[in-house]
Amino acid sequence: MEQDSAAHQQHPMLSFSVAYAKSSTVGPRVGRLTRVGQKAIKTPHYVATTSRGVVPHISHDTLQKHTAVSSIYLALEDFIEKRITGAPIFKTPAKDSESPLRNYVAAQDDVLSILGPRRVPALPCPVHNTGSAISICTSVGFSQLKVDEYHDALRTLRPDIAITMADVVMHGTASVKRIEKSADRTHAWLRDACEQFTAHEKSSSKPAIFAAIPPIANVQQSLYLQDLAEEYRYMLSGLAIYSSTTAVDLPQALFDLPRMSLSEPGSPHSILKDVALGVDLLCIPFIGFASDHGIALVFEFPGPDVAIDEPQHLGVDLWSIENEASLLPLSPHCDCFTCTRHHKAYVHHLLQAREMLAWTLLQIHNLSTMDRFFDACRKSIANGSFEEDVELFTRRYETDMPAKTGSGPRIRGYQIKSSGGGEARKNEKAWDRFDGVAQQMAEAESGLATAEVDSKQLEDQGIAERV
Amino acid sequence: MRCRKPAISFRRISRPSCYQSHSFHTASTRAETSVDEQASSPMSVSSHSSALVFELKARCSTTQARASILHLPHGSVELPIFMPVATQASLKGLTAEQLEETGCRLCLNNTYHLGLKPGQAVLDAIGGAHKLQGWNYNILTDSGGFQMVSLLKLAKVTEEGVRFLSPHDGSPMLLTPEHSMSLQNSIGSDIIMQLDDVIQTTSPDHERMKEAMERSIRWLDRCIASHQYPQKQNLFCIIQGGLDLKLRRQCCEAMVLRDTPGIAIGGLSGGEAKDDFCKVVHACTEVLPEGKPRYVMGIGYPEDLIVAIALGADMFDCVWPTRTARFGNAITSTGVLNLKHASYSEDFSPIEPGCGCSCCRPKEVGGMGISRALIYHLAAKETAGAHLLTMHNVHHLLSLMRMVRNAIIEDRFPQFVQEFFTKYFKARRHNWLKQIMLMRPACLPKTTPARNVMPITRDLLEAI
Repeated sequence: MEQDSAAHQQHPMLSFSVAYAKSSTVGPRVGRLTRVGQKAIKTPHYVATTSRGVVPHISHDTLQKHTAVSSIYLALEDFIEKRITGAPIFKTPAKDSESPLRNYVAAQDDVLSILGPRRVPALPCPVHNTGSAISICTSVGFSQLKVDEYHDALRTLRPDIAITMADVVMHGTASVKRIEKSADRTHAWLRDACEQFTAHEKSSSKPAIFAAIPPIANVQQSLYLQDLAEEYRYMLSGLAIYSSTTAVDLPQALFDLPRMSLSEPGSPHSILKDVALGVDLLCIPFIGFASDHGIALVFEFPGPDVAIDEPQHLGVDLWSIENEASLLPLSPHCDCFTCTRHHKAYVHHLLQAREMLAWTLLQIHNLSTMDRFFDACRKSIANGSFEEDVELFTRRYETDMPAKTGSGPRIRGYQIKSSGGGEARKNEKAWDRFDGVAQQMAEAESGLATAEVDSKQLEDQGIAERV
Repeated sequence: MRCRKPAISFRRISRPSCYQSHSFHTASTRAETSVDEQASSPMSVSSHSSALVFELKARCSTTQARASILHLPHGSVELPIFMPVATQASLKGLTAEQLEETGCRLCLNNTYHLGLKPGQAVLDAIGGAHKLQGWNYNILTDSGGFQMVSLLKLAKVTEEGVRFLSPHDGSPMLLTPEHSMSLQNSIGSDIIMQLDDVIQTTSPDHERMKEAMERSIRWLDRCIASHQYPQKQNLFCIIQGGLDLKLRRQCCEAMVLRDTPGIAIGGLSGGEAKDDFCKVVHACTEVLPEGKPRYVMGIGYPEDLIVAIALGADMFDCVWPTRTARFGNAITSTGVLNLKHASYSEDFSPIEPGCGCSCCRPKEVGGMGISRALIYHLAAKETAGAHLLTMHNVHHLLSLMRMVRNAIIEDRFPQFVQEFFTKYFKARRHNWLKQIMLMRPACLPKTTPARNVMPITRDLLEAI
């Protein structure tokens, strides 16, 4: 297998080059991920996570016009309902060079598609993974995804980048034995994937393979990493790491592979930590969480150069009443669609009115904030000032994201795990308000006085007067 | 937050009924209708106290259908027109830009909802609804009365206004014509509606129907009196009278005297039979002046729009196309498709082949290339699925209106109607298809002067 490894060093469609790295072992680096026919993606950068094939709340035209999203992460579990065999996505018509996955979700040709087995963040499943399958969560319930089925799906759907399956332990702390098993299984599954792809595919239409590396210490999976570096290196186009510490002390042969992180950074501070360790691409669930909860991200990197005593907020909670009549943009220097065409008052109103457009406008803004953030990070790394800038950023901004005060969109089954019987409802009942009114009506008719706090407000708002 | 006091309190004007059947007096400014302003176009009529110009372009030689242009403060719109409903200052997930792309230049906001959120004080501070939602084209607002009656089942209409219990704390509240005007003045919409007394057309209580009609006229006077910006906002009256054609005609007569810039026919789309609906629209349009836009409120089914246009109406609004989109229903020229049905899960054709909306157009020509299968996958699970179908449905109705307009201008509207119904109801043999085909008589050549002929008669029903 190894005889022609040099000839296969690069995938015919996808290439990665490191333009600047602080060190050849660990540390921040700037690079370029290029797929033939697409604009090069400058790294470090974020990968937009999708839900059921779309970036949440963003329709295709808006994604193209008002965001700079250059790559999307898709999860196979989003396209499976009861059974994987016969799922509609596999029947998507596609010409020779086309990807059925891209056609099914109607993604633009210039957006890099990355397919993995599970959503980011993935929902923990009640059933454990087995030697030949992982547990997944579909919109109709928990299920198992067999390794063979997954590899077949990758071959059929032809994403630009395919992430191999990893055995990730999601419940509590794993025992030494379980960690060993995790490394062994992931190792075996990667071998299967490589064999399948060599056996079946023409080189130009096979997806570029990113080897998944489970979130365990490198010493505990050294055998796997060694095999990646030696035996399978020629098959690989990148690494998908579940923990950014994996990037530390990787075998030298893996150095020039792009590293995509599937860990879930909770704030820009943790993104900076990941980038400092040499992560090139990141999935960032907090962008969507912030949008869902009415928070506009307002941080810049490394932050405003003014003397400030107090660290600044990372985001602005637009549920807050102080935005009620503010005609200002969401953040002062933002030139995104939301900030140029609309203002805080509108987003505040849309949140209050529970209109879907609130989340759309916030997503546009938050993605744009991340674009500026990564752009500044790359410049800073190239300048050699990254470490100082990170320090400035840490001093200038608060550690945590602002607290969520308002409620978000309706929570779907595939987003939240039920913890067993008797739990409270996740979505408020939307239509029971009249019950209370009806009762008060009955009371009013019987001559009982009612509280007037809210009707005062109603009167102030000019809709009617009290009588 | 302070409440802006209505210009005139209801207590002063609502003293003994000012409604007497034949002695309506209108404000002097309103009675002076100047035709000279639009001397170049003899069909154009503008009144001193209006902020619009209505330009009649063409009339169907067979039916009452008309094509016209309505010049409004935020740009001109072509009639007949369908106006999508952006209830709370957003059209269900669509950005103002996406709404523009569907071709929309006039949409609705609901006064009741904007009055609750963000409220009048905020609207005043921001400078109106256009600024609130970043929409630079026209807005029409309803009076708020309909929501009061339909949403709050606990409302009661009195001469002063609509009495209801606060949805928050149950204390009794009152919405008067003056409140409605004041709020709509703050909203700054280009077309504003009078507060009317709406009751179900199917109500058997004739006395109540008559009372509602007469009260609507009295309330119109109060609305006219308290309207602060007649030079920049167009107040439309609303014809009431249920299914009683005599009441409807009386109401038309009285309201036409008030010379509002436009006229709405209200109280329909409440579950009345199709031919009752037609009779009412016809009864109104035949006595309404030709030089003013006619707005039939609350209709949105394609077949209803076509029929109402044939009867001489120009403007329509309805939440159905956008609401049904959120339930996964696509409106197409061959009928409504429920894309949540499993049969569409592997249907990779566009929502409607040949449709020019940005969802249906293939990627190669700058569209999104959305398939039915993708809508099936997203419907009711991701908000983007609703956005996409909403865009398609709004575009579909606006494009239908454009086709109708062209057909009228080219004087082939009757053929268009025939083709539309054949295609839209193909292969479906519902009983009410026959009812719809009743519309045919309206499209048949006139044998007697149109004004004396009811478009639909029982005899013709038997004949089909």
